Amino acid sequence: MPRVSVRYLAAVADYTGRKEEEFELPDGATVKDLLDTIREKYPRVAEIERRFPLLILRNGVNAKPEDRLVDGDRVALLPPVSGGSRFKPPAEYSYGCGD
Amino acid sequence: MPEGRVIEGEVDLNRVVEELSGKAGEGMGAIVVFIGFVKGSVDGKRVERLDYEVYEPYTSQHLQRIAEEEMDEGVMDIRIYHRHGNLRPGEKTLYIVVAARGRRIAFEKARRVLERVKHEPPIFKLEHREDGDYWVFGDGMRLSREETLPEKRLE
Repeated sequence: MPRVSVRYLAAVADYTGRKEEEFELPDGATVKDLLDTIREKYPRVAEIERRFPLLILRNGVNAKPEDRLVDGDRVALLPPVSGGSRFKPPAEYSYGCGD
Repeated sequence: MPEGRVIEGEVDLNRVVEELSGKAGEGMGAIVVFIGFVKGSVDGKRVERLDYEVYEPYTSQHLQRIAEEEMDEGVMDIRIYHRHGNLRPGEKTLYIVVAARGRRIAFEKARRVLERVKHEPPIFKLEHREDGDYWVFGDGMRLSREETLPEKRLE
């Protein structure tokens, strides 16, 4: 049962009402499963996704929906960066350097 | 050595320039310094405060990566320091210092580093203005917090 911490950055936290929390997920759960859990808990998250593209990071790098989560993973939901209205990240783009 | 990171207070630019001046003996001929400030007025409205939120350690890691990746031919050193927290108009927000063999390389590299810093690392701005609070998503793109906070929606 992987336990992962989730961070809601900037405007995303306005929609969830909190900045971070932990989720315990079934073995084999993926990033998509986690997002579905979050969307179910916070229906307003769908509203965010209509407004701007949500970026999902897992341990500091872009997460793919099919990525399997492991115990201790750190996932973050981010709005576009402050100067980013013209920025189109490439597929391999990552915010950080990973752990 | 190139360096990029998030900081809380101000940077002693005299110290940084003094340190980089030592590279003159290695052929360094120019240092360009960029300083970003909190603006006191946006769209004709008075700005009271700007809150910078970062996602550490990844924001600092990304600033460091930009500094290292931009160290190409003719560039002798790059320093990037981005402040976080609550800043008032007139306060400094971002420092970019580039030392290079000549002025052309130094100016061009400082501009390129600035564009990357503005568009890549996870840095978020919440603008507190006389007419309300706004999330800043890019140059000129803002979203009123009246639309993002749940209690506002229930009114």
